[in-house]
Amino acid sequence: MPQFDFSEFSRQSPKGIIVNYFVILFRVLKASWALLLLLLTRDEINWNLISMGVGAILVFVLIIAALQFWFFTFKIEGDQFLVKKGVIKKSNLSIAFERIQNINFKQNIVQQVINVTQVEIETAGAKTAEVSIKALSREQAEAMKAFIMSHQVESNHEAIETIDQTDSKPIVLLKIALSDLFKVSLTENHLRSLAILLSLFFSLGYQFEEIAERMELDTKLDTFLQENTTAVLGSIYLISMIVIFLLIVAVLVSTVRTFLTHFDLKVLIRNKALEISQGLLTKRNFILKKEKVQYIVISTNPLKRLLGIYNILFRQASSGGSDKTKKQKQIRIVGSKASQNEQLKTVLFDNKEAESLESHWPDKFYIVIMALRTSLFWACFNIFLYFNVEIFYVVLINAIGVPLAVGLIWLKYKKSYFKVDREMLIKSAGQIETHIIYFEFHKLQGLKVRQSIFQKRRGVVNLVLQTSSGKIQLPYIKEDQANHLYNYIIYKVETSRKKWI
Amino acid sequence: MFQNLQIDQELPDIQAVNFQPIEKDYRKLLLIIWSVFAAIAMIGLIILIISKLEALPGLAIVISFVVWSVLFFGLLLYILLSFPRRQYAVREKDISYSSGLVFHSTTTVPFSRIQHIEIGEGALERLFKMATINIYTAGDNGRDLKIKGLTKINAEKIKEFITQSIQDASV
Repeated sequence: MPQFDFSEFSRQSPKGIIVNYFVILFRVLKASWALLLLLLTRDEINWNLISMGVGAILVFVLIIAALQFWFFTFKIEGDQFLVKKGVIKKSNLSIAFERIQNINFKQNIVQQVINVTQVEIETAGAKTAEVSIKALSREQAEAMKAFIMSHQVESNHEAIETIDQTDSKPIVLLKIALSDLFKVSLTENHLRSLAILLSLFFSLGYQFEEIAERMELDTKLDTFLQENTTAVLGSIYLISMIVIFLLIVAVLVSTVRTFLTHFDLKVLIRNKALEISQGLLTKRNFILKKEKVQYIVISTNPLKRLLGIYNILFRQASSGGSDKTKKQKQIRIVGSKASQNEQLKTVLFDNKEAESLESHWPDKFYIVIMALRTSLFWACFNIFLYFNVEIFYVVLINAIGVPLAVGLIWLKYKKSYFKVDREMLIKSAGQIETHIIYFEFHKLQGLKVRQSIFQKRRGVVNLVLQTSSGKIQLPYIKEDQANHLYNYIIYKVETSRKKWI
Repeated sequence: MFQNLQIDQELPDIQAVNFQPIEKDYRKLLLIIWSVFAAIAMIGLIILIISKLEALPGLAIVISFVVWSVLFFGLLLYILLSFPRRQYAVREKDISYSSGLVFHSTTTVPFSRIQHIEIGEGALERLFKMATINIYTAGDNGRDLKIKGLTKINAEKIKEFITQSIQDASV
């Protein structure tokens, strides 16, 4: 490994200008694409003016990119990582090594083409911004990471054992093939994909409205609808066409989403930690250490179960920070087989005898409450239907909806069980999908027991485990069982000497 | 039930803990605060009625006053009835708080998971020489335990005790 000197303030690789350039350009385009479309749809287009304007913007962006590059410098001083940045608004950042939680590598498409790596330094503090250095050579990035990691160890004796094994060979746990990725895409939750697409449309709605107005789309649509309303309502043919169309769109969206984030997914086990890399346009690298993972969720659905594949979500500590950074800290992998799940659990958890233990279901009162809530909603829905559609459709919708609702409630109850052993909780949830949470007690932050007056009469409570990555709730369990668990979990946390982050 | 949970000694039971009530004076404070809110709502209501006197039917005015009084007295009743449920307990290694009438909840935070502790005093609280203790963990919602209505001295004592035992544990 070549030597790099981090003791003086230095700049990134000059290729950083290119990275900055595209980042800024992308931001400009994102903010103004509607305006551009508007200009291009005008009747008379003054090409001279437009090309001059575009040229000026491109030059301007280049200047900003170069300035940003020039004023971004970093160095390592003692146990501190220092960054100076900013063209007009200068800022100085210093991060103590001990605060650094993780150093991740990332490559978007531009960075992949010009062969530079983005280094992201994650800190534990709630208010400190995370630092990202956009363009380093791979060697330089690796050297910096190794340097910081090794100096972290000096101040932290517990971690020394991991350094001893630096040379140990990694084991490839999971490497996803293209065909597997297609299987994963086809079996994703397409309803969710559709919902994401819709919310995207609504968030862009404002910009769309502008264009639609310009092109008089809405008036055309209105006249079309007016002329065809009678046909639309009567035609089951058209409705089924729409359903098929939406289904195709949803599957497409799922496929694109899956490929974008999980393309070339690789999971390695090295030094008792997981190394994950994945992504098509933006390639991301993570290292997951067992103490950093707060809990994992293994999910599947009937189709996936048929193929024997699971999605796994790794939840990391996320206190503070924006929703965006919170989301980035939840790492998902796809297409894992049952045997691979087992291997993963062996890496992350000390023991997993709980799997074979007895399952505990909530009190039956849980079903009653779910049924009551659903009936209330269903009654309101029926009143609405009664006044708005023909009686034939009301009967039809009820004939489909009621058995469906009953089935879903039953599934939800059947799937909400939990198992407990000395060290961990295994909790299942879901209706069509199945999500199984694996949580080790010593990662707990706080414990809560909640009881409404209705629950009191039945002698049941909700037990809420607060973790640094969200809550885990055990609904409607018997009072004595809950109390026993409460005392046990608190006892476990207070006697544990294991690191929880 | 959990045959695998056999432990050498009897576990400390949260139910057996002697929970302390918070300061009685805090009830006064609550009543004052909510009465002020109710009074402001009443003033707003009166202004609204006067400004639209001709347009409003008499029945609407009567109903709005009835609704106001039902809400106000309901609130007072709730404060009085739920007050005894506000209790806290400090054990050797954790702190607990329980409250709520319709939805009762008990929360326990082990000292070893506490990030920092804050003592807050509102203007009214200062008048009554009271304070609120906020306990922050790394939990998702940050402020995981909040005990209102302690005397200033008591809050300081609890903070001191917790800080001391965290320091002792880390040595």
